[in-house]
Amino acid sequence: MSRSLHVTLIAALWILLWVVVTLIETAPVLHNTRIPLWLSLSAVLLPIVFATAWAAWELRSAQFTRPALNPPWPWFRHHLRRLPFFLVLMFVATYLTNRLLLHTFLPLHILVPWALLKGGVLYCLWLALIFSSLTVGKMRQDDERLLSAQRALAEAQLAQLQAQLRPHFIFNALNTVSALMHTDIGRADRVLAQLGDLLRASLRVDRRDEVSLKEELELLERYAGIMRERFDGRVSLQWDVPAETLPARVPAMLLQPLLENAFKHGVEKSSAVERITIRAARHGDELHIDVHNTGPRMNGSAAGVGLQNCRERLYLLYNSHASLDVSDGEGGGVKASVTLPWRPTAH
Amino acid sequence: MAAHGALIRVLVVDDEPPARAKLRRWCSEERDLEVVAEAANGLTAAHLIATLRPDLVFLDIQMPDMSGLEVAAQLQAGSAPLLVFVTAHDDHAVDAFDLNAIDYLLKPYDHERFLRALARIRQRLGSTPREEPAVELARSTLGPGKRLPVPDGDGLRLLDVSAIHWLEADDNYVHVHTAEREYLLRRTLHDLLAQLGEQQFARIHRSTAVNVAQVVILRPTPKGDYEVTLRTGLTLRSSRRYAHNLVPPRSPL
Repeated sequence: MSRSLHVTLIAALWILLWVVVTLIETAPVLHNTRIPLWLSLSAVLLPIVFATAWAAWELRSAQFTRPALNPPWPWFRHHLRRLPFFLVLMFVATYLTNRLLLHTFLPLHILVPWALLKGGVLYCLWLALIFSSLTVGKMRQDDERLLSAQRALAEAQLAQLQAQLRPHFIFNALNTVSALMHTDIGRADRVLAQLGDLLRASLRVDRRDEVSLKEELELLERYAGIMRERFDGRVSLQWDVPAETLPARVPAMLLQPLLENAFKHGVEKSSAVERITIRAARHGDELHIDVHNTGPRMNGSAAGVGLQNCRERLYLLYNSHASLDVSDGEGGGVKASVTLPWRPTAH
Repeated sequence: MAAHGALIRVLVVDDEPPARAKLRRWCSEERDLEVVAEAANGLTAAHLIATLRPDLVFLDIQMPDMSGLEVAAQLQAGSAPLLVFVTAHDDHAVDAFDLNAIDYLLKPYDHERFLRALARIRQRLGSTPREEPAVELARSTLGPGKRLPVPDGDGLRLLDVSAIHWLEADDNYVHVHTAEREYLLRRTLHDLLAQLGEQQFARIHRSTAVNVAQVVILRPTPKGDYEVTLRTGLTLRSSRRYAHNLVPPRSPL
């Protein structure tokens, strides 16, 4: 709900409330013709002026503009704490009205409880009205927020899937199979099986967020296997992964886009034989994983969709305890480094 | 040319060995095709097209050094071989191929689709005048050329277009002048300028064009021509007919 609409609604409720009070206050006039109507009306006027001035001042508070209603108790506590102030205000208004307008010198032991009771009931009624109007507004806002969050999640999942296995990769892999099957059925079969494993794993990702490094590397080997067939003789892969790092928990298919980048920017752009090194190491309670490719250096900043996706995923899973850096590697090429909190899988 | 009985000479260009092997095998099954060479990258492809003059090129788009589109853009329009683009990309380039009747194979493709493409190629090789819209399309897709393969020793090297100072036509050849040396390209000046774009190079004479960024002085001569002085101090003559390429026509007062 917009702020101006919110204020308008509160003002309307306020006026409605005082119309009711005025109607009740002026009811005796209908029976007692000795009291003129203007006098009855003016008797209500002073409390209205006092209370409205107070309400206008109150409306600036954050409890009205940005109320936190869940749980509702703090909101009520905040406003009930102001009740004494309101009661004093109402008492002064009633007292002055009685003295100046009506000239009825009611004794204080009657005037005080009467004024306090009237003010208290009025205040609680007012709070209940405001609370219900705020709640309705907030419910609608929550609905909208939930909807947009769900939409964002669905989009993120889709983008993730696309980042993991680009259609381009699948078509090229299929073409490799289509080329190999005329000459070497065994190799064609192997590429198909590897492609199948990758597709299966990419469909499974949303069900299992984290896998062990061992499983992740097995998948990476499938991917590398396909790429090795495609770039026959143009790339050598080196795995430098100590056994102690294998049980570490890592986000599923996190490394695959990094290896894909290494092939895309290192191997595909170069006619020479390039080397890709995948290295994992544990440093205390951190796990470091590097994917380093020889070949051309980085062209500008590394801001691809795939990397952006990896970073977002890391942030969602580990907050600021994980990072992904891409930089020019020592001795040429490009190095992507992932740092994750060390968390071994159970068993 | 592919007259009756003559072989269609084919160049196969793809950076992936299995993909090349497949095309070579299928081409060799056709009686009228002869695979004269294979290339694993764009620069080699450009060199082989220039030296072997094949009739038909199967050209992969995504390659190291130079993409297939870059290879196509630097061919002399009108005398280029027929091109069949081979790609796994299903993007706007493919839409453009469809619109401009350009032959292409989408990876993965089967024998039937290969034969269908070949049937169209045979038809086009037989018809005169032969049109090759692929060169034009590659140029308009890539925009003004940024890199140009030039002959260097036995092979080609990629020259940064901004390093070119001026171009000099010599019949069907163009002398490409840079700070260090000059290269001889077998292209017409008109065709080279069409590739490099008129923003970057201005024709100042029937046989000369300059890199606009290299021009420092423009001096009118009494005959109504202009003298164009380059950053290097070299002075070239601009004929009246082409002067408007560098000097905007004066508005009548």
